[in-house]
Amino acid sequence: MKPLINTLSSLIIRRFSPEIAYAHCDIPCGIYSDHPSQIAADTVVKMVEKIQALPKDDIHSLIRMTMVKEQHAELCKRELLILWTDYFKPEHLSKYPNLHDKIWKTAKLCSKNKQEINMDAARELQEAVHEIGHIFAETKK
Amino acid sequence: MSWPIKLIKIKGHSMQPTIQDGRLILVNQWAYIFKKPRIRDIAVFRKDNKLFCKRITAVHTDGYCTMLGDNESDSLDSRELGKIRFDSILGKACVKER
Repeated sequence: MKPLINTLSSLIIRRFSPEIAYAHCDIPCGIYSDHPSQIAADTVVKMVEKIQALPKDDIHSLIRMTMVKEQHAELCKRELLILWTDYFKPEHLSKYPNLHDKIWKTAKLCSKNKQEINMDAARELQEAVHEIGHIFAETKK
Repeated sequence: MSWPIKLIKIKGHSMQPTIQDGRLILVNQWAYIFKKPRIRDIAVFRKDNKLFCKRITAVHTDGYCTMLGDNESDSLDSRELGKIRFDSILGKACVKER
């Protein structure tokens, strides 16, 4: 009698227990790099430099360079956030306890560089991204 | 023939805000026996022996459809998986939408 009950109960459980359907998000490709954020930060610096050297009446170049500066500041933020949320793990944080704060402040710097044409902010961003890149490289060793 | 209704648990965030991670849904496995899948239906399909839940965004004449997650910026769907054959679709998800 007991085996029959067991068989019946497993049949019922199998029939009515839910199967998992995935509503997947990211593909965990495992490919991460600090280079895109560094190139984006370098581009921001270069654009600010070029904008500041523009003649006052070259409005078209000003618009184009401002647009590129803003796009790369945004790209820089996105690439940093990918490293932050997908790559860095608790063991990295225990080795670099200021990592959260550093990335958070750098992301804010990206926004500042979107808003302003400011060489000090651009250089600060470049340096901060370089520091994060250094941490990234250290964790890869 | 399969049972008309199947209980499915959703894992992941790609169907947000329509379906939250961890939610249980019922799938009508007979929905597409006499009717073809329709655009805007939320359906469950099988790919590589795994079930996926996505929304049908295009129905093609060659027996395939395109399926995307509602959370388009963060979804593994037809953009990577390719078009989905009608016969891979398990059924229509019974989800109340606003």
